[in-house]
Amino acid sequence: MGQEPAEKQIKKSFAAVLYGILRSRKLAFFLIIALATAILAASLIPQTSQFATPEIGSLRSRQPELFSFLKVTGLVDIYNSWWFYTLLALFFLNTLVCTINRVKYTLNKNRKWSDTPSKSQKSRLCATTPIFLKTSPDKALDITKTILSAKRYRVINKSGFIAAKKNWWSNWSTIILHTSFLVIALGILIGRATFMSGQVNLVEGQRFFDEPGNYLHSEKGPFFNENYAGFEIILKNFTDKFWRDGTNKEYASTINIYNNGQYICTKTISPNYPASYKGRNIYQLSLFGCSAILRLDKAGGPSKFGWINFETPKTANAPIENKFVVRGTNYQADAKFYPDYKDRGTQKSWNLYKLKDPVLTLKILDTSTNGVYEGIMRPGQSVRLGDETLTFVTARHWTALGVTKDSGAWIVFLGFWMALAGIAMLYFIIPKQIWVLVDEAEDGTVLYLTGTASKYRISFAERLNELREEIADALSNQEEVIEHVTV
Amino acid sequence: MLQSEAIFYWAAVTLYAIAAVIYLSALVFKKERWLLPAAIITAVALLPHAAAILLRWYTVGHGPYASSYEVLSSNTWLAVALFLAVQFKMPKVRLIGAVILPLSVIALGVGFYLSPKINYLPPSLRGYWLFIHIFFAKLAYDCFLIGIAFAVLLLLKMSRWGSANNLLDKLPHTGRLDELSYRFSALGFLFLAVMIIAGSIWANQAWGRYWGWDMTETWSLVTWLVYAVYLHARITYKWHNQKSAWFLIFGMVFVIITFFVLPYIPLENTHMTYFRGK
Repeated sequence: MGQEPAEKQIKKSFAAVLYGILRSRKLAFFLIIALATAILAASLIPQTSQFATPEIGSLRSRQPELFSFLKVTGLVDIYNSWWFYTLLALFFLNTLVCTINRVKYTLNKNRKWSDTPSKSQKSRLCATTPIFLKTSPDKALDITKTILSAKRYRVINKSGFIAAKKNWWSNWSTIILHTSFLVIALGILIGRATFMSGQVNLVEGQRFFDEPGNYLHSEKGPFFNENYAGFEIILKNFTDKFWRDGTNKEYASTINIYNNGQYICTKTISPNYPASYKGRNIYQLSLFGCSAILRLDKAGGPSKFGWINFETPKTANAPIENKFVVRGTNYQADAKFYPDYKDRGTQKSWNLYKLKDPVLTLKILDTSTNGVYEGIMRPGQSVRLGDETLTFVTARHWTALGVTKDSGAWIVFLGFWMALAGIAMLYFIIPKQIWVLVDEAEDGTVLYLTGTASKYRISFAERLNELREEIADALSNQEEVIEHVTV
Repeated sequence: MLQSEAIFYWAAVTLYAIAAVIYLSALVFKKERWLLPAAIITAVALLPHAAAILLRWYTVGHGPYASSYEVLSSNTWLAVALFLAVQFKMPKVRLIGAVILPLSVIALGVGFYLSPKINYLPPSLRGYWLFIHIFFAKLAYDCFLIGIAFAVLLLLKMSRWGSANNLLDKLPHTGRLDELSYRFSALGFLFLAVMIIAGSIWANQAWGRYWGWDMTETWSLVTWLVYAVYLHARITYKWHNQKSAWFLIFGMVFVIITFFVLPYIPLENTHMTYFRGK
């Protein structure tokens, strides 16, 4: 029992030490450097969680020892490594503690009017030379007060001196900036936990149901509600235009949205102009092209429909080709697609991408890779494959749409705006404080002017000297200024 | 490149080069009276330069951000305009032209050498957020450049050579130069934040994600963090004058890598278009 206070003392001091470390600016300094270094490393070392699959494969096969070292240390997946999360958590805690600490400090600072400079302010004071006046102290203070008020200083006048401050609300800037990091972190956490994103490839006229199995490359956060919104999208049409060099000029999809079979609306989506419905954003992706609709008929059996998507190449005149397996048969095919066959073989032309006179060239192979058929097909034409018939029914456009939900995005953006406000206030709306003291002197009054600013003190000193001149001029209009002396 | 555009462009480059030579000569030969003519030549050069940019804009139908030529040309124009505004407000610091103008001439030469050809913009690279993103990128990098110019003059002034140079002696005192470089770096820091945020909002509109860790995105964030370290170090470790100036020069390395080197690294990078037109 007798040892309890001592233990408590030790515990208390440990908590105090921990608090001291977490509120330290030096820790913040170290953490910013560490995070920057980690991010740099992640951009230079191929990461398994990003687009660097070939580089990772090459590293693994060529330098297995280096790869295992990188793997053990988490350097091939930095953003998911334990030490990166630790750095982030420390940064979060450091920011939180610094912010809490700063709130107390700012509240105190803003509540009190310091009649005299504080200890820390004294070390940063910008003083001007005193002015000797043939006027009464009260008159000198009155004129000074008017000038400071005109400069939007908040002024209090006490016997014998003036205390004035400006932009004092900007003391909140650090708190706003630090809080913005916390808000951004919160938004990211909420977003990562509840997000979903998926890709949908649709041929004109095709219907898509918002259900888990219908998405290509879908991802979702651990807390994403499995109840999908359940709406439907029909791609009504897709249009594209190209520049002369084959670069996309514009492309857009018109979609009909249905809910429980009931038509809701028609929307046109294009890059930068997504549509929203039931908390989902639907984006136009830059993947699109033409689709050949095929039908397979078997004598006595039902007809089967399918489609082969051909992606429009990103460079002019690159071949538009694809390989596919004819489902339900033993055949596979190499296919090339010409949206406008008349242009085949001519000069490079953006017309290549216009769906005008579509032709499919097919090379069909059996399981032993023996050629079964090689030729061109136009819509409506068929080819006989054993006891089955493959028909090129028609050609249409297809496009990829992205569907996402990110509940944290708006919180992140709120954090962004707070960060901007914080930085702008911190560096460009500078809290300033001025003290004016008058003292009776022989044959008049002596006026002392001093002040401090939280930043750019050399500029502030220049402004303070200008202010001194202004006060001296104003008072000289009232009464004669005896002399300006240099101290 | 149109012939008229080329005439305006090369007229501007020639005038900038003349101004750069005068600024450097003024510094080396300690001739203060040469600074004003150099500033006037620089101001005159802005006009044909602006004409070249506007002609290009009119011809291609988009702002100057789809090739290294367009990017560097417009960035240089803005940097020179910013420099002129600064020296107009503070004639005492006119000598920063000795840093800004030579770099501007180099940037214009590099831009022309890399790709003066016309690139068309894909539809995803349109929209007002993209415009804000690009505009603030230019402002941020140009503010950093002005900050660096003050830092270089500070270092020169504090060097053994500088103490014997009466032209450097006429500059504001080192504390003032340090503060100016601090102020411009802070402004660049704010603009860089606007650039990153506008880019993020644009990416969210275009692809439904506000961050993708692509190379340029990542290095922009790192550059921002490097400047955050600089601003923090001034408060926490009281870095001023030489230490602070050297750190700014170190920070500029990140700007240069992000801006000039990354678009040429063959890795996944959505920012390739702005420099390589791909």
